[in-house]
Amino acid sequence: MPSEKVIQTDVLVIGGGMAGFFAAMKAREQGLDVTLTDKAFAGKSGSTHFSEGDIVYFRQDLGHDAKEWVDLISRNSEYLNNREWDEICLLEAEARYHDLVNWGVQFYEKDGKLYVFGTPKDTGVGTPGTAYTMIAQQNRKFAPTLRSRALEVGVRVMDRLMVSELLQQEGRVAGAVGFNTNSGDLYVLKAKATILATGASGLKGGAYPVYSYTGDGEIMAYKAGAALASKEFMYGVVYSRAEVEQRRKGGTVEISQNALDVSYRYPFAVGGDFSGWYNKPNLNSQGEPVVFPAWDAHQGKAPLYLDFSSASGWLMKDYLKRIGTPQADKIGLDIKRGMQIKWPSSRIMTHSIWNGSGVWATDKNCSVGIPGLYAAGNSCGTMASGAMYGGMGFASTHAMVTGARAAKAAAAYISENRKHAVSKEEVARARQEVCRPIERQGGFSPAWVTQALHGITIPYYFLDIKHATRLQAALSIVEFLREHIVPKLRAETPHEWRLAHETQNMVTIAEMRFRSSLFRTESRGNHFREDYPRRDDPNWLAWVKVKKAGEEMSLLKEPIPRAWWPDLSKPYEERYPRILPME
Amino acid sequence: MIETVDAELCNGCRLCLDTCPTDCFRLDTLVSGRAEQPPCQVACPAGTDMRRYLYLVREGMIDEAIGVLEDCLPLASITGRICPHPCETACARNDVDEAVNINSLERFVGDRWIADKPASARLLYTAEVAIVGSGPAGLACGYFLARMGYPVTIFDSMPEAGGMLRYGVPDFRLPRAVLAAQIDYLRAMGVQFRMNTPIGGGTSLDDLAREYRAVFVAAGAARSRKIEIEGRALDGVLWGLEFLREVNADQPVSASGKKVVVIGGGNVAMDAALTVNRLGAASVRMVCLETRETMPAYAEEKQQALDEGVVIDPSWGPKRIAGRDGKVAGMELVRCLRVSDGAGRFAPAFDDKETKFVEADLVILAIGQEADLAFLPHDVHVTESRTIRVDALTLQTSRPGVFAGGDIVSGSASVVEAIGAGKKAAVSIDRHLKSQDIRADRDLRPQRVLKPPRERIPHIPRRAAPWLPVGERSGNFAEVKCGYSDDAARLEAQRCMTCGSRAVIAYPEDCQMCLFCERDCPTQAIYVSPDRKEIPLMAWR
Ligand SMILES: Cc1cc2nc3c(=O)[nH]c(=O)nc-3n(C[C@H](O)[C@H](O)[C@H](O)COP(=O)(O)OP(=O)(O)OC[C@H]3O[C@@H](n4cnc5c(N)ncnc54)[C@H](O)[C@@H]3O)c2cc1C
Ligand SMILES: Cc1cc2nc3c(=O)[nH]c(=O)nc-3n(C[C@H](O)[C@H](O)[C@H](O)COP(=O)(O)OP(=O)(O)OC[C@H]3O[C@@H](n4cnc5c(N)ncnc54)[C@H](O)[C@@H]3O)c2cc1C
Ligand code: SF4
Ligand code: SF4
Repeated sequence: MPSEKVIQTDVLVIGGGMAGFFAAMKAREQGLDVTLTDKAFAGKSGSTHFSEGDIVYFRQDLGHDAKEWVDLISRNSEYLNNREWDEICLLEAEARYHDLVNWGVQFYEKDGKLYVFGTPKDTGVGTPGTAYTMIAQQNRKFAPTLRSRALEVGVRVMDRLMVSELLQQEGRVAGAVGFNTNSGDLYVLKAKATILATGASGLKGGAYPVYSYTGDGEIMAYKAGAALASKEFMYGVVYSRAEVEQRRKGGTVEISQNALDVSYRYPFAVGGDFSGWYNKPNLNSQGEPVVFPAWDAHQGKAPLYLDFSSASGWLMKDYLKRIGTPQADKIGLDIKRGMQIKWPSSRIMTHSIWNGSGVWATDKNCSVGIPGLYAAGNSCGTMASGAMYGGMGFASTHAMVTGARAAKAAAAYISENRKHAVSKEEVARARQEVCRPIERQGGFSPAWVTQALHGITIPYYFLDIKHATRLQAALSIVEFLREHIVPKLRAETPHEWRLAHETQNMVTIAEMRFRSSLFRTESRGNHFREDYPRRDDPNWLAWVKVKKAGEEMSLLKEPIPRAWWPDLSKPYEERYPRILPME
Repeated sequence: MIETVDAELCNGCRLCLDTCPTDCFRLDTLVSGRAEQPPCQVACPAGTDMRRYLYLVREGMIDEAIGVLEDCLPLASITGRICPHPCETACARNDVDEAVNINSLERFVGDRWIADKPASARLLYTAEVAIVGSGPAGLACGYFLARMGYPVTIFDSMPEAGGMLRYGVPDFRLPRAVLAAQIDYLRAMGVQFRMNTPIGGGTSLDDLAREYRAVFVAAGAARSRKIEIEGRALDGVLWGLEFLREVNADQPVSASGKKVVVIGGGNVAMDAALTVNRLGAASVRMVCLETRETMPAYAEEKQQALDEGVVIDPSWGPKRIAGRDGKVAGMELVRCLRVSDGAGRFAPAFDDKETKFVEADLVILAIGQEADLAFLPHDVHVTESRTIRVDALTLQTSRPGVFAGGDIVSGSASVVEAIGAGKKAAVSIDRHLKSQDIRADRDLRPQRVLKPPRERIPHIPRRAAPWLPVGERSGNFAEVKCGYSDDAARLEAQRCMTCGSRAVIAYPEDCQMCLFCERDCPTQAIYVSPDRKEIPLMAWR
């Protein structure tokens, strides 16, 4: 039996990324006692610490037009973006930028001035007519800065504290239970309000490192009765030896250290004129491939190459400067083939980093429909990005904005509600739930179960190139894992205890992915079905929500407001410039 | 996938642990097989293993941290309050920002130990050991021997145990309840206390040496050194230690409304000044030979004295005490030019032309302590400076089976030195009783970690211990320095750089090849290969 520690706090923030720190700092600004936990090291884990740190630079005083920007996001997101949230994020971006400045975060500068970049109209680069501009925090520095700042203002930061079960009392959330992955101590975190900021829900498929996002917060909320959104949309990224080599070079990178990220993103951003299939405007304006690499490999065209040869001189120079002029072969540039990069992927695609999916936000305060519980950042299902990532820099901005909003709402909730206690019975229930894997005498190893799960999720023919038959097949295996294997997960060490819960959560996330993918009988954005290869308007101008109904997973279709529909009088090709594989 | 941490390069800074998003590392703070110790440990006379227990505090593993102190530092709740902490002076973090507040962390763990962990000891041997003196040296020796399984009896002439901790150090720095809890803890371990039993009175040291298989003499240096000075017999002249002893024994000492002059610049003088101030003195003036900077009292106490309105009058020597009607009326002081000679020997020089007179109705002389060695038999040899002569390695006296340590050997020193001596003596006594070689493997001078962490350590401000507001201190003996909360302790412990530990790749299979560790490591000790090894998986465990 692990020894038990109790912490009493006003606001519990689970997750120490951008969203978590914004939630914590803003709650602290309201004079509340704040506890922030991270299953790794707050400020050095999560997407946040990996990101380039680009954030949206939206300034009304410079004449930026919110509608123009949101229209762009709508087109990129294939109309499933929540336009209200997009506007909120844009309008609040400047205030959040000032927060960052006040907290000591440093930004990249050029010629002594804030370095503003992106795809501004006048450079002629990027999707023509794109207004979108960004600025960049000094990457790998900003999150640790947020951490020190939070410590300075008295946020109780708890590292290696994995939270895995919410405490519920009379329909409200009263904190959570977790454990330290080193000491193996159990932590009962009694809180008046709880903010989930645990990031996205990947499946630990090799991609740009995503092992931290296993949907922990989403599953906690789901189990407590909240809905999750958009589990059918995948977010593909690639992973390779070249990337690792490139990251090693990171120290010399001027603007961005995640060179591979740059390497796949920026060349595409030039638009047009790539070899073969990539000639088509099938990429979103930010250059993210949809399922094409998978589709091409499926068609027998692997290995695939990224072609830099037509990249404009401006871009190539900028790019090489950014990555610190590495040796070509280290990033996979195959000189013999000209300026081509072997598609640097061991697996074709992996899943979901961000589309504004997550726990369904029931209002603009990041509530999730359960009193005392809020979600922020990648965990928060605002649908600010729809079927695809809507715009660069948007994810971080969304994390800041939702973090700040959740904190404000949590503070208001605390002052309005007097009841915060939690019963012994509920603590005992949660403790039992959390301790199951570590208290079992024997059972299945989490790593083995994860491997089994990978067998039916990572290969491209399950979640990238989808078909009802394969989705069904995978679903029945996942159901088996859920019913017969997950309850027998066994952790031998506190570290493995974390893995056990992550595995359990990933199994549920996978089930949601299969069910949502089956449910959406069309293709759109990052959801591609061979058996329904085209968008189906207006039938599927709707979101898919997953919710617990008894012990069952129920699926709901939530139509988007009519006002957000594309102009259905226009022909399909004009509504959707991006072409899907079978079109 | 993460492949290697080069143990030769790794300095134990722990940055990789505080970086890896998937929790691949663990820290080996024990580093068995390696002789180097962190600077703090080398500097600690009791050899406390800070690195290990501070790391555990940081991880929230307080019980385990207590376990480390059990092995190396008894009386932590006492040293955690009043130790001059040479460890902090040596702390490698001084080169980064400021030393770790080891003292407050020690107190935190020490207090939790006494509060939460019941005492236990098993009697394993029948050979009985006698200890003379219940000061920290005697208590520490008793603790370690009881822990090893020996029956131990501590003799003391005073009614209550603790030595200077009980009758010297005032309550506002070391509350009696804290000391009492430590003594109770030893009692619960089975240590016997025979109070009101002066050795050399009814029972002699020879008697003890006959009745017990080994004796540890830790009788301290509990007598004020007296000087010949005109007026010393006047009513209103007190000696530092005796004054403190009376106050600590709850005897009425009247100081109310008096103008007090304290002579001396050491800790006893300081405690006397702070104490008499609390007894309602109208004014307290400390007069010392040294300059303000060189006076030997601890910096912290100097600050406290200033805060509490004690006037420090440095670079003056006492010339005579003036009296009226047999009572003290004032003091004549003479300018002190220097305290010691070129060779560092105590040899004060005065400028007789510069004198001054200060009014006083109470004078406390606190100019040093000495040991009372009258009870020692002739075969226990003493030194010129009137301390017991011992073998430095084993603390054995000239008489086999009799060991000595603490102030009675070192001259007045500190609690932690006394504890170190008690610990050393316990090892000697154990070996002596087992007829083992008491010298073997003991002359190992601990090596200092050569290159402690420094680069890339994020700056975090040191957390001072909170102090009772000055306004709440007068007229009472409430403790002035307060302890850390759980949060403060955890945060301050995060500042420890765990110098000389080794990072261990505990879970390589969970490496996501982000390379954060490799890039953050200040010593380039880490290599992450771009290839992933397949590690055979066990389906069940
Ligand atoms: C390589 C890369 C580059 C990117 N570049 C950009 C960019 O330039 N601009 C942009 O806007 N966006 C970018 N993004 C996306 C952006 O970084 C994220 O959307 C944003 O940082 C999300 O922040 P978050 O706080 O919601 O989640 P995260 O930063 O993922 O933080 C979640 C935290 O929760 C912790 N956690 C998870 N589960 C638990 C649990 N059970 N208990 C305790 N703690 C838990 C994790 O350890 C993690 O620290 C990028 C992402 C990646 C991966
Ligand atoms: C006022 C004051 C303040 C101090 N402040 C600090 C401080 O802040 N920090 C610090 O580290 N150190 C401080 N010290 C020093 C510290 O207290 C001593 O160095 C330490 O107590 C020495 O321990 P010891 O066990 O050798 O002797 P002591 O503590 O002196 O104990 C000796 C014991 O032996 C007993 N004894 C003596 N003769 C006999 C006998 N013949 N028979 C039986 N019993 C006998 C005495 O009654 C006494 O109980 C202070 C000392 C004083 C006087
Ligand atoms: S970061 Fe490097 S030097 Fe520091 S503990 Fe880890 S391996 Fe050792
Ligand atoms: S490279 Fe591997 S071991 Fe190093 S920080 Fe990343 S996941 Fe951890």
